[in-house]
Amino acid sequence: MTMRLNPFAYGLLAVVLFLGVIYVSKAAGVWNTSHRVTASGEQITVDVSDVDTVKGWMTFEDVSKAFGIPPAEIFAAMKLPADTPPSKRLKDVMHANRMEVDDLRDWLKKRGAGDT
Amino acid sequence: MGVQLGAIRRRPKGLAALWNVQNFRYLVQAGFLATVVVMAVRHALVPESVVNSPPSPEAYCPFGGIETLYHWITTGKYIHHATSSSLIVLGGVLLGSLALKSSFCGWICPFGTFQEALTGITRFLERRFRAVARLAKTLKARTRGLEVVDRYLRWGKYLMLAYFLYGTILAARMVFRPYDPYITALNITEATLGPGLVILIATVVLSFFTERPWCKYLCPLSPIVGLVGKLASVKIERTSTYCKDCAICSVACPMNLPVATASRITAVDCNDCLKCVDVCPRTGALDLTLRWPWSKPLVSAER
Repeated sequence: MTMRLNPFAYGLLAVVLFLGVIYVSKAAGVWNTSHRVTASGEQITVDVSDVDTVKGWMTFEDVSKAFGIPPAEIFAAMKLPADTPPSKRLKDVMHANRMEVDDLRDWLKKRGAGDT
Repeated sequence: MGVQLGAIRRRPKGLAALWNVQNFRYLVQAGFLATVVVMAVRHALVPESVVNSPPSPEAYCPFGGIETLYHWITTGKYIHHATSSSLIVLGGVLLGSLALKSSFCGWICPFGTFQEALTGITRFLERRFRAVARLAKTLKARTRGLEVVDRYLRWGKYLMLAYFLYGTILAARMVFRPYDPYITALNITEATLGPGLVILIATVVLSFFTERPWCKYLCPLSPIVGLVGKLASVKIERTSTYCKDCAICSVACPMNLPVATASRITAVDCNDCLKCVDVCPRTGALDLTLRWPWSKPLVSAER
């Protein structure tokens, strides 16, 4: 079977298919766009056994509290200004100092392994 | 009353002429682009520390799904900057490619739309000012010899895909992110001078001279969409019986594909914008068709 397709119908179908997948996943409860909460709505917090749970929106206070490391030690290790407010988001401070949050995660990993 | 195949297509006039496939496509594209821009602005204005803060439009990027796929399969977790939405959007894109070829690139991708809009400015200026039209013509004539370079440069996107896929699997993080002009554009308020910003500026500048430079040469998602799209039963098909070889379709193609000499457009680079189908002056000469692998073409008689 070979048939001609209406280009309008083609475009409409493309949109319906794309948005349909998103809609179905939302209805199924598996859709999640947040780094703060899981798809089931649970709050994401730092898990000390997994440094990958450290997120850019978290503050230095959050990390300090979770891992029991004084903010000053984090600032010194990451070569950040000592007067950085610990209440600032990791992402903002790291980017302002031309670093990524991954650099902090790497340091935390190494520290956990006793390398520092 | 049936339409005579091979006859000159009658184009509507006046306001009715506005209702055509390309304007419909621009409308769809504008809708997706506007949604992403609104999301980016809302995300930039509301701090992420606020509960229920608006999602980043990055969460809707299908390439994030590609990057996190291996990590998700092997560990059940997502790499940073990816969420379940990244995988779901990727699923939507792949499903769309399987059914409708590269419809995502030509109709939905906001970065493709952004590039098309920039090229549209040049086209507008060409129509409006003779000097610009002359300059564009001269530039085109002078760069004709670069077609070979263009052919080789198109392999760049495959290299990009291989390199960043391998790097992401190895490092379990989004190694492509700092180079991604789309992500840089979405987070423009946080952008610092780096490869992403340089590539974004280069894409913006090149878009004034050539259509969709990022898609043609470097986008690592386009080979995936194009290759999966090869399995689709929907194709653009040229029926040589009705075609008068005017080659207007090849001129209209933003990806510079030789539509006028092909019988079926199976090229990975085709983004299914349907500009070729739209400009074709003959009824039945160039159509979007649904054909199963075992089916015969619409008209098997060749000239």
